[in-house]
This record gives sequence, structure tokens and C-alpha cells, in this order.
Amino acid sequence: MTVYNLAWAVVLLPLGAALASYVVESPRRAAWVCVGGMALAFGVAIVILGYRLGHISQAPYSTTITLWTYQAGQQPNGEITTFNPQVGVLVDGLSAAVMPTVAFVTLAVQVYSLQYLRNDAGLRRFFVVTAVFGGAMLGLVASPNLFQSLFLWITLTVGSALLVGHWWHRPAAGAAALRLALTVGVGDLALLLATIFGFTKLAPDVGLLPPAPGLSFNDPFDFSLLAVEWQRVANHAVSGAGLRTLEVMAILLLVAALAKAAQLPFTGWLAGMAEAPAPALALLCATGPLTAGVYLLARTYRLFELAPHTLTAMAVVGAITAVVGAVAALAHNDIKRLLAFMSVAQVGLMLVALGVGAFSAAIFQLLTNAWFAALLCLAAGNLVSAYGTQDIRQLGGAGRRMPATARLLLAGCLSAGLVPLFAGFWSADAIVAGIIRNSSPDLVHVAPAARALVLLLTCVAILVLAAAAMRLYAAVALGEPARRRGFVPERVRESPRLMLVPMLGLAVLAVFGGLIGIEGAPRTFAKFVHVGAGAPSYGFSAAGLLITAGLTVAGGSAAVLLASGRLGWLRGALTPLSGVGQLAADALHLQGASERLVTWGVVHMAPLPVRVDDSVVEVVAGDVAAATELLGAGLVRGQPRRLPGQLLAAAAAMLIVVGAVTLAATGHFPGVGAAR
Amino acid sequence: MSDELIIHAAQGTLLALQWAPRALALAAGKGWLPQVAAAGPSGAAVTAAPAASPAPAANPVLTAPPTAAPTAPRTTPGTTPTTAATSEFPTILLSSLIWAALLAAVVILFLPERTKEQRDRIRIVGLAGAGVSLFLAAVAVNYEIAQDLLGGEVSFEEVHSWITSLPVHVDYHVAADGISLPLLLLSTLVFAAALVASWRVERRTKLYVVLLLLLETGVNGSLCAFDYVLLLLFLGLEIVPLFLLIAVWGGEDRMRAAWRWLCMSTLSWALLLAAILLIGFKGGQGNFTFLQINGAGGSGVVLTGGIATAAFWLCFAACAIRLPIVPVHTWFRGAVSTSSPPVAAIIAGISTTMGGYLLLRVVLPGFPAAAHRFSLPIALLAVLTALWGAVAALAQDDVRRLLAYAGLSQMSLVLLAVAAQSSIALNGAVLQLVAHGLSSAMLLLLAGGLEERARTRSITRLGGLAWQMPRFTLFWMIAGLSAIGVPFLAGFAAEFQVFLGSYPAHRVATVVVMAATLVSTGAVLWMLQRVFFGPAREAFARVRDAGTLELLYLVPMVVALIAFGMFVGRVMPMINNGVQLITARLSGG
Repeated sequence: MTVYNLAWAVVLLPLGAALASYVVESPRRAAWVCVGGMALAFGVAIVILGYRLGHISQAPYSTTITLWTYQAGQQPNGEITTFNPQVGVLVDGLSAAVMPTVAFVTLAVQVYSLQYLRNDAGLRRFFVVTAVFGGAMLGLVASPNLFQSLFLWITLTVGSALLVGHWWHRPAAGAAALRLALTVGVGDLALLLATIFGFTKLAPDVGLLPPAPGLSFNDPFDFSLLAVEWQRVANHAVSGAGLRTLEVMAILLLVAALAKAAQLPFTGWLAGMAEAPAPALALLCATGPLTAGVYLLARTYRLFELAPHTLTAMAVVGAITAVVGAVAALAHNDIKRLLAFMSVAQVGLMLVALGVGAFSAAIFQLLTNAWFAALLCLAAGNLVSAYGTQDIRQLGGAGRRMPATARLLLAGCLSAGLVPLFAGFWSADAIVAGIIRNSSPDLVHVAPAARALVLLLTCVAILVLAAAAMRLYAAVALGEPARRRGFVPERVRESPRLMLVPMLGLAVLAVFGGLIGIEGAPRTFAKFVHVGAGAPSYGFSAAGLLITAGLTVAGGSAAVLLASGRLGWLRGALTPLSGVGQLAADALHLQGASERLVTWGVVHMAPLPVRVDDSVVEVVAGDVAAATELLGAGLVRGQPRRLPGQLLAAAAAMLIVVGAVTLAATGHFPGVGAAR
Repeated sequence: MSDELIIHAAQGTLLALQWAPRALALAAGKGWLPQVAAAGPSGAAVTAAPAASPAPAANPVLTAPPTAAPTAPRTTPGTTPTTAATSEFPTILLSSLIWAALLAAVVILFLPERTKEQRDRIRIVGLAGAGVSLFLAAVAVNYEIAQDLLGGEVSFEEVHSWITSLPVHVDYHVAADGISLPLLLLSTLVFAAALVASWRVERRTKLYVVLLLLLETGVNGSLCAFDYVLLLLFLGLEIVPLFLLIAVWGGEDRMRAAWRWLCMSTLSWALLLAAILLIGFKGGQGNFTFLQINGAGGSGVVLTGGIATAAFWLCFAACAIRLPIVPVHTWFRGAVSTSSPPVAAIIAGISTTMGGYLLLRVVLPGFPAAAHRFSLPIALLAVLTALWGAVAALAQDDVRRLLAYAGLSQMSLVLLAVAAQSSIALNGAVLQLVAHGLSSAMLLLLAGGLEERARTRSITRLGGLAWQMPRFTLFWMIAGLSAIGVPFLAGFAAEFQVFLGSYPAHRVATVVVMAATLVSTGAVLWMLQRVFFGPAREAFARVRDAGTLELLYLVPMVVALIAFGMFVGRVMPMINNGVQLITARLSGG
């Protein structure tokens, strides 16, 4: 068991490195300190993963320390003896599987940034933020309770805003960071509310349960205890809580996750991703808020199984977002926005998987997405710095001029396009098989109509994702760059090795990593990461494999052929649909709509209270003040002396009064203290 | 009207307002009262009062504590250890803390201020006085944290009989518990920071420093006072110095703001006086000691009926003006935006905190039944204030007015906790008072530095200042993030507990206040973006960043913000110890 305590190190090493980096004078060395901390964390995470792989059947291990504690006593919702929020680590299959990927992707991004941001004025800041961001994400993955998840969740929001706003001197970057903070802030509030709601409803009952061995109290935020409580609520064993309690809490958690993962209707801030530096984009898309949302849903999955309507909602929202994101990725020409929308579509597929009960497939997709999304974003960084533009219509010819980057990009695109045999394919295959199976480990089903809709939308999303990924590759690697003023194609050079090496590590995972999770294989990912006590044993799904392979091959090859000028009839057929693409690219105009709503509802209201203050409250109070002023002036008229004189007079007056009071108090003042 | 005339007017008004009610009360008190205070050395046994004596509910107006024979007369000066803690610790700590500032002020009165060196000497003496207070507050907090605390104990208690021959019995009774100690640390820290921040004040330096120190004495005294009359005296001590500080060293339109402060604070003071007279004469039989009136575990006096309601609302209105709450908040934005930055920091960081402190110290324990009954109106006021401040902050162009409105929204959390009256929410409220005091004082000091350098405080005219002022930006971000409740800083634990404790009692109100915090977050971040980020501007090309002087007062405040955020596990048990006094009163009656 003690090996699992190393999880503390995984969380604390990056945070400690972020602090320690301030000891070092030169920003570059500080960056290396952060890289070192993350590398150590990655090594430790691998050790934990290895140990856990050898002991699959062990129960989850969690250990906590008390952050603060006091006797709370009677609350409006019931008796709570002590209030003691805990922080700690939880090692089970889920966290052991996700931690190494988070650490590795963050490490790769940091190593890449050593070169990419070498001359950036904010080098130190970037590394500190990435270290804290990575540490917060690792802590969120290892979080044993809702309280810790909440505060790392908010930390992650701040980190995301700082990453997007890294180039703060661009007005657009600042605006994007603000927009992100407020949109994701809705999710933060939702999670805060879910935490509070759960505490209100369940904490008094948690206190009645027998404490776990070795503990003297029950933490009402603890995930395992919450799972017990949810089951008790479902069995009507908790007074004051019923199925509606479960549904409300599930909806709050779902809203929190949707806002964090930029799913509909919270997609608006994605356009701002164009302002983030490429490494920051990689972190945000691969291991940052997007996956944090899915991870929270996975952690609280028991609740959703008890409130099955929310599972259906999750699947449908995920599927719609996947289609919209994929179409938007196809329609966007800004490479960073394209990648952001592509990642959102992949995250939508994860939600679909969770919704139909394919728990392991969702987490598997989370990992593969982290690998190829990070790879693609870093490749985009190479291209942007070499070509000096983010518009893929002006890129081109990278295959000849930047061969290594182009090959890495190809690996990423094939994986992200879910093309057979690459990592993304196996996770998409598992998801499609999951939709066909449509049964959670606890045998909860999505309604047949919803399932058909979800299957249809998922197929469309997979087709379009393949097309979008391969279009990206074709546009960038084939052909010749567009002519622009001030751009000399001959000057385009391959990126330095320090940037290519971390990408190579990610590319290996993006190509071969999928082999760990082939659906139906005997020692597969689903055996290691699952919800509930026993691993489900799924058979091989030929239909899922064929559908996924057919769709991705069709979509990918169509995109490549279109890009190389063939398939004119298809182009003609698709032209009328460009309006749909634009609509999706603008994320269904949701950002504009919500901003107008906020503008009308809040910002336009803003002068109103000020006006009331100025015209009503101030005037009333002002009259009182003026009256007093007049009165005061009248009292002292005719004594225009200087200020110190006045002060002296006041002091003397006070002295006399104090003296009189003292005399009176001690009984020397005849008449006043006559009570004696 | 010239400055001088106005100052005369102030003094005249003040004297009238301060002494007239008191004289009236004394005169009236003689008529009202039976010969209770005639017992010379009064024997109001503080801790010896029977703990379990359910107050008989027969008397509609008041139920007095059992008039048991005093078992522990505590009138011998200096030898009154009433708790285990005080017997181990020199009991003059709080007195030294309170009077050190006044002592420094008296010394400064005799120092000349003609040359630069002489003025520097004045500042150093002033800072020494504030520094002694700060040091003692830190020692006291450190000592209290190290104690194994039992519910509702007070430490560092000093009781001396002071006025015994009047109908009104008044003690010099100071003590500190988990509520006052963190606030003492806050106030001494902010005053020391304000003194450093006003190092470059060259106009009437002597008067300025003396007034600041007088103000500090008043604030620290009212935080420690455990006797109602003493509390009133210390609160009254704050009014005139702050009036003069605004009126003499303020900026544009300062007289208006100063008058507004004088009116509102005197009104608040008078309301509190009226309420306390009601408590004292109707309930406490002329004894104004906290533990007598607010004793934990049912040993105190309970006002009932219409008198309790009236006294509750008087008290609440007094605190509402100070906090401030929406209908009576306009003095606040004027005072914050026109006074000099260190004074604005004191107003936003300390003066409002005093309002919250009085709510927790006087209103809740004094009127448990009424507070419970009027919980919903209080929650509604909290909602109104939160929304009002957050929305109005969006419309501001003046940095300081924006901070004032955002602060209004932040302080409504305290009011929400007072409405909820659960121990978790009240714990959060005390921490919120500290966190908000620190962050808003820091933000206003930073805003002062900003306008001193950029020569404007209009947000539309500022921009891109992070180019020239990276340190300022960093400090601003830390304080702003704490204000909006970001983890690892003091604000998070405070807001989390307030919301967690308030939700069960007032669900809708809590959710609305939460939404309002998102809006005020937006206002603060938007300002950050408009003031500091964006392209560099030619106009600010030669603006200096924070120098040694600024670091000298900013770094300790940042350290405190982070310390209260990181070591919340050490702080919360201490705070809860004080809160238990309130909750025992709320539940026990």
C-alpha cells in the first residue's frame, strides 16, 4: 500500500517546482526547474501505474489529511459534529491510468516550450503557470473528495485564463482570457453549488454511518462515501432526500462538466483559443479543462447511474457537440481554432461513451485524445512559427520544407481522424461498440430513440472528424504555400530538435498507444479502468469495428481527394452546405447570443443602480449632510481661528468633560453621583 | 466655505452629537432605575454566573439573570484571572496593544515638524507605535492558536472597575477571542501599511500621523472592548480623526465625502448608543458588560417583545451603515474615492470590517430571537447589496469607485452569514472579514500608487500598464484573485464556508449571491484587463514600477493573504472558538 502514497509526490512535485523556480535567477533555469519537477512527477506516476497494473484486484487506496477542522454542531440542515474538509490522494485504476498521461503531456509541452518560448518575455511566468496547472490537474485526477476537486477545479480555471492570456499585450488575448474565465466560471459556480447541495442533503446522514477503519469521522465530501450515500438515497434510506435530490445534484455536476469541457452551450470561448501560444493550446486541449470535465463525470459516475435521465442528456449533448465541433473544425481556417474545435468534438464523444455506459471507452478516449491533441497542437506551433500565420490556406508545402514536422503531423492527423490501426481508432471503436451495446455496468440503458439519435450523430461526427483531420494534413503538407507580402517560402526551416523530440514521444503514443485498449481483447484497458467492483467482459464487436473503419476511411480519403482537386462532384454537392459549416464554425452563434444576453441583462443594467445612488439616495443623504453642515457652521460662526487652535480647544473641552465624568464617577461631583 | 470653518463645524456638531445623548441618558437613567448600581464594587460575576439557568419567560420585557451572590468579585485591579489562558500570560497585553498607538501620538504631539528630518522622526515614532501594536497582535494570535481551545473562552482578559458610582456601572473590560484576534491582526497590519504608504505626505505631517494613530487606537479598542460603554467610547474615537483625514488630505470634492462620513458614522454611533441604552437599562440593570449581557449558555439577559425588536433594528441599522448595506451605502463610495489612498484603504479595509464585527459581536448575541425572526429580511438585504454592488461596479470608470462597489458586493457575504446564523457560515464570515479587509485595503493602496504614477484613475484612459509596472500587476492580481475567492488565498475558504453554511438556511438567497459574485468577478477581471493589459501606451512610458517603499507595505499584506489561505487549518479552530460564543447564544437563547 505504501507505494500508493507516492501519489502525494506526483501532485506536490510540480507545485513545489513552481515555488522552487523562484529561487533561481535566470528565467531559463527556472524553466528547467519546472521541467525537472514535472519529469520526476511523471516517473513516480509511472511507478504507481506499474504497481497498480500488478495488483489490479486491490481495493482503491485513499489517504487524506485534514485541511482544517472545528466543531460545527447544529446546522440548519441537521446535526454535524465536526466540519473538516480533507485533501488527499486516491489511487485506483482510473487515477493510476490518467496520471501518467497528464504528467507526460505536460512534460512534453514544457520541454517543447523551452525552445518555442525561448525569447519570450514571459518565459518564467509560463513555466510557473504550466507547473501549477499540471499540478492542479494531477491533484484533480488523484482527488479523493469533492472539496479538493472543487478548489483544484477553480485553480484550473485561473490557470487556463492565464495560459490563454499569456500574450496579455494583445487586446484580443486579454478579452479571450476574460471570456474564458467568465464562461468557465459558470461551471465553477455549478460545481460549488453541487458540493454545497450534496453537503446540505447528505452530510447529516453521512455522520451516522460507521466511520471507515482507522478514521474517527466521515468526510461528507468523500467520493466513496458519497457513492454509498447516493445508493442509500435511491433506496429511500435518507430522510429529506429522494430521487429528485440525486437528479438535481447530477444536473449541477453535468452543468459544471459541460462548462469546463466547452460543450454546448458553453462553446463560445473556444474562438479565443486562437490567441493562446501553441504549447498552451496543447495543454488546454489535451489535459486541461476539456478533459477535467469528463474526468469529474467519471468520478461521480455512480450518481448518474442512479439518475438515468441525466445519462441520456449527457449522451445527447455530447453527440450534438461532437457533430457541431467536427463541422466547425472542418469549416475553420485558423489552425488553432480548428484544433480546439476538434478536441471539443473528441470530448463530445467521451460524453457519449459515458452516457451509454461505456465507461472504460470514455477514459480510453480521454487518453488517446490527450496524446494526439497535444501532438497536433505542438505541430501547429512548429508551423505557425515557421510560416508566421495561423491560416491554413496560407500554409502548404510543409511536406517538403519541414519533413519531420509533416510526418509527426500526419501521425497526429491519422490518430485524430480515428483512422484504423491508430490510437484514436481503437477508442472510437470502443465508443461505437458501447453505443451498440447500450448498457452500463449497472445495466442502465439509454432510451431506444435517444440511442438511435446518438448513434446517428456519432457516426456523422466520426465521418466529419476524419475529414477535418485529413483536410488539415492535406492543406498543410501538400501543395505550395500561398504567396503573401513579406513571406519568403525558402526561409521556412524545420524546427529545432528540442521541439521535435517531445513531439516524437507523443507521436509514438498516438500511433501505437491504442493497442492497450482494443475492444474485446483479453487483457485490455477496460479490465484496468472500470466503474464498480468487477471488470465487465465485453465481447468483440464486429459491427462497431466495421462502422468506425468504414466511416473514417471514407471521410479521410474524401478530404484528401478533395484537397488534391479531385472529386469535383462532391465539392459541388457540398457547396450548399457551407452555410451549415459557418454556423458551426461560429459555434451556433451561441457566444454572440449569450454575450448579447449578458450585455442586455447585466451590463446595460449597470448604470441603473448608480443612477439611483446618484439621484435618490445621494440626494436624501446629501440633504441631511447639508443640514448638519449648516447647523455646525452656525454653532461655531465667529471663531475663525486656525486649525491647531481649534484642536487645542477641542482637546481642552474633551479634557474637561473627561475630568468631569471621572469626578462624577468617583463620587466627587455633588448631585450627579448621588446614588451613593 | 473654507476648510477651517468646516472643521470648526465638525467639532461643534460632534461634541453636540456625542454628548447630548449621553447626558440625556444619564439624566433619564437616574429616573428610570432602581438603586442597582449603588452596590459600589459591583459583583457581576462574569464566568461564575450559573451556566444552566433557563431564563423564566414570564416577564414580557426582560428576564434577568438570577441575582446570585457574587462568588468572584473581580474589581481588584490587575488581579483578575478569569480564564486559564490569562493566568499564564501577562494580562496587560491588550491594553498595551490599544494604547501603544495613542502613546506614540502623544509623543509626536511634542515633536517639531519643520524640516524633513523632523518629519521623518515623526513618521518613525508613529510607525513604531503601530509596529508595537502589530507585534503584540501577532504575538496574541500566535499564542491563541497554540492554545488547546475550549468553546467560547476569551483570552487576555482585563477587568478593572471604572465607573461605579453612577447609575450606570462601567468597567474597563477588554478581552479577545477568536473573532477579535484575527481582526486585530488585520487592523494593526493595515494601519502599519497605511503609515508606510503615507511616508511621502509632507503637508501637516504631524497632524496626519497623530490622527492615524488616534484612529488606530479607536479601532483596536473597539475590537477588544467587552463592555458596551467602552465599545461606544472607542467607536466614537474613530469618527473625528477619520473626518479630518478625509477633509484635510482628501482629493476633489473631499468636504462632501467628509461630511457624509461624519453624518453617517455619528448616526450609526447614535443608533448603537440608543440600542445599548435599551439593552443596558431594560435588560442589564445598568451593567454594560458583554459577558453579563451576552453571556453564553443562557446566563445572559434576554430582551423580549417589542423592545427587543426595536433594539435589534437600531443595532442592525448602526451596523448596516458601517458595513455598508445598500440603502445607506453612498457615503462609502464617496469616502473611498475622494480620500487619500491610505485613508481609503483604512475605510474600505477596516471601517467596513468594524460593521461586520459589530454584527457578530452585538447584534447576533444580543438579540438571538429577533435575529432568528428577521433572518429573511436580512438575507434579502444581503441579496440586494450583492447584486447592487456587483452590477454597479460594471458601470464605473473610476478605479476606486469600482473597487468600492465590488467591495459592497463582497461584504454582503458577511450579511448572508448573519442571516443564516449557522456556525459554518459565521466562521466563514469572520475569515471573510479578514480576507476582504486585507485584499480591499491592498487594492486601494495599489490604486493610490497607480494614480500617483499615471496621474489618472479613469479606466478608459489607463491601459497597458503591465509593461511598466509588472510588480504592481502581480500584486493587483493576487489581491484581486483573493477577493474573488481563488484557492490558496484567504478568500476561498471564507467564501466556501459562507456559502456552505448559508445554503441550508436560505437557498435562493445563497444562489443569487453566488451569481452576484460571478458578476463582481467579471467587474474586477475586466478592470484588470483594461488597466494593465493591452498594448503599451506612449503616455505612460515613464511610469515607475513599485519601489522599495511600496514593497515594504505590499509584501507583508501579500504574505498575510497567502498565510491565511494556506494555514487556514491553524486559523479556523481559533475563529470557531469565538464563533461558538455566538452559536451557543443563538441556540441556547
